[in-house]
Formats: sequence, C-alpha cells, structure tokens
Amino acid sequence: MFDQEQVKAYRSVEAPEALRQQVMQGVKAARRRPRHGRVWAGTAALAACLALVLGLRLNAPKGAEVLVMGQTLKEGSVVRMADGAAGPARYAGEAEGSAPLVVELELHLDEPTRLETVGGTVTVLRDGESVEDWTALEGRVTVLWEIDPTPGDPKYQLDLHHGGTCQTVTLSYAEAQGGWIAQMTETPKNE
Amino acid sequence: MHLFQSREPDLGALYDRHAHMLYRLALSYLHCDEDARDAVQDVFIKLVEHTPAFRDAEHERAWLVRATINRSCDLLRRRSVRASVPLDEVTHLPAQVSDAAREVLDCLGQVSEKYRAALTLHDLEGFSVEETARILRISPSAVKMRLRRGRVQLKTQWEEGPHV
Repeated sequence: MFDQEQVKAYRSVEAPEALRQQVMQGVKAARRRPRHGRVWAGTAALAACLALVLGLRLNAPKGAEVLVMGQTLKEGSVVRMADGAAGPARYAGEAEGSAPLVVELELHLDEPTRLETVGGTVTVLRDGESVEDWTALEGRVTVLWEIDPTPGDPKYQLDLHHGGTCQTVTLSYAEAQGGWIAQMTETPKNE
Repeated sequence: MHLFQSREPDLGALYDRHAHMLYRLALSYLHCDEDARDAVQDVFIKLVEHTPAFRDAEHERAWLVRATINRSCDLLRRRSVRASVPLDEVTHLPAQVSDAAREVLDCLGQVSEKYRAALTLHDLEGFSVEETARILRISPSAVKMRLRRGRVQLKTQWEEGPHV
C-alpha cells in the first residue's frame, strides 16, 4: 500500500506542457483524414438500395461465429483448452484454482453485436488494437479472456447479443475432462 | 436520460481536465515519456474519431481512462514483439519526475499488469472500488482481490528494494 508521501509524489507527475499542442495537432490531422464511413457511405447506400429493389438477400445474417483454438464453437459442443495442444490458449500453470489462463476467441460477427462478460478480464482487439465500445461489434474481432480462478468468482461467461438471439460462451473447469472447457448455448431473446 | 453529447467535444477543456491523470497512467505502463505522450494523443484522436456520447462526467472519465490503459497495453504488446534490446534500455522517464515518484513508478512496473491497473486507479488516483470496477469491467470483488494481491507484490518490491 502506498503512503501519503508516495501518493503525493505520484500525483505530482504532470503531463508536459508540449503534450497539449501535440494532442491538438494530432486531432487536427485526424479530422482532416477522410473517414472510411464518409468515403464509402455513398457506395454502400447505393448497394443497399439495389439489393432492396432487386429483392436480393445476399446472405442471411449468421449471427456470431465463435472460434476457440481454431475450432468453431457450436451449441452443444465442447472445446477443451488442452495444455500442450496446438492453439493460441496459453495455460500458465498446473494446478486448478490457482493458475491464470488466457483464452483467445476469434469472433466473426455478421451483424452488430453487443458483448457482455462475467468473470475474468476481457480485452477486445481488432487488428491488434483495443476496442473500447462493445455495444456494436462487427466483423472479425479477437477476444483475449484472462481468467484467474478465485474462490467466490467462479463464473466465466461471455454473452453475444445480436438480432433476436443471445449466444453465451461459458468457460469452466471440467474435472472429468482434465482441463478447462468452452461451451456455447444459444437463447432466443424475449422482446 | 441526458446525454453528455460529445459530437463536437470541447477538446481543450477535456484535455485540461484529464491530461495529467491520463499521462500518469500511460507512464505507469510504458515508463517512457515519448510513448506515454503518444498514448495520450492516440486516445484523444480516438475520441474525435468515434465521438462517443457520454452519459455524464464520470462516464467520460471512465472512457478516457479505459482507452488510455488499452492503448498503453497495445503499445506494450508491440514493444515486446519488436524489442531486441532489454526493456530497461527503452524506458525513459522524464527528467522532471521526482525520485520519489520514480520509485513508485518503478515498483508499479514490477507488479503484474492487471493488479497494476487496480492499484494505480484506486490507491494512487483515488478512484473508488466501484468506479475502478466499472472502468476495468470487472466486479468490485475482483477489484478488491486484485488490490490485495497487488499490495502483496508491492510489499515484496519495497522489501527487496526498488528495481531501477
């Protein structure tokens, strides 16, 4: 724990004066850059109108596809994050209940999806950069889910809300399977 | 519900309100003045690009803090992938940082990343447990657990002597 003097010393650190100008200049430059939304809005709007007029539905939204260690997680199936198995999951320890585990999920989202989590620390990345807004995720994103099993905080759940459905990924330790497993359930939302 | 509209945020005022804290946060992760400045700049650029609608001042602050932590972690990840020199050779704290502050930052740097966020926000910046939980998107009990574990690690650091 820090004492008062240490807190005071830490808080005495201030942003350099030059940083203000650096930020304002950076923002000015960013504002001048054409945004993808503006550049492509006209083309996208035209394409949407054409699709509507022609009555085409190119692809029915599949919702969210969740991959764990390269395997698609489907309702009813189980993926085991085995230590030693090839895959992005990093199993940083041996004993259940004490070792932190980082699970990497790949999400392919066909429509705006709201992500909510319970348990662990979740980082959402797109192209390697953190995403702050989890209310309308789309496209391909990576979820890094760090779970650190502690008593009283055993639930690890990730909910993907989109359209009329909620897909839930649950992580749990399965004694019978000798490791952590990921499971998916799908629930239609009651409006 | 009132929306604290940020369509055209008064960036100057926003900067003046939060810059020192955001810079300190970034520095606690990156231990490098230049990288910390870049992180803060990137956060404000992101703010302008995404124009989030803040519900209130607390929401605004939480967004900025979270974005700063995330950006700092992004930069750390890139640094660790690219670095071919020892980490302590790429960290440069600004000269105006006092020795006492330097010691605090050095010890913080030795604490695990997830405990560091809780310690910095709660113990050093004065956020409540609830606010810290909202910012980090974890439960208040998880915050308390991280504070507890982080303080244990800190205590070890202090006892062993600050790492320079």
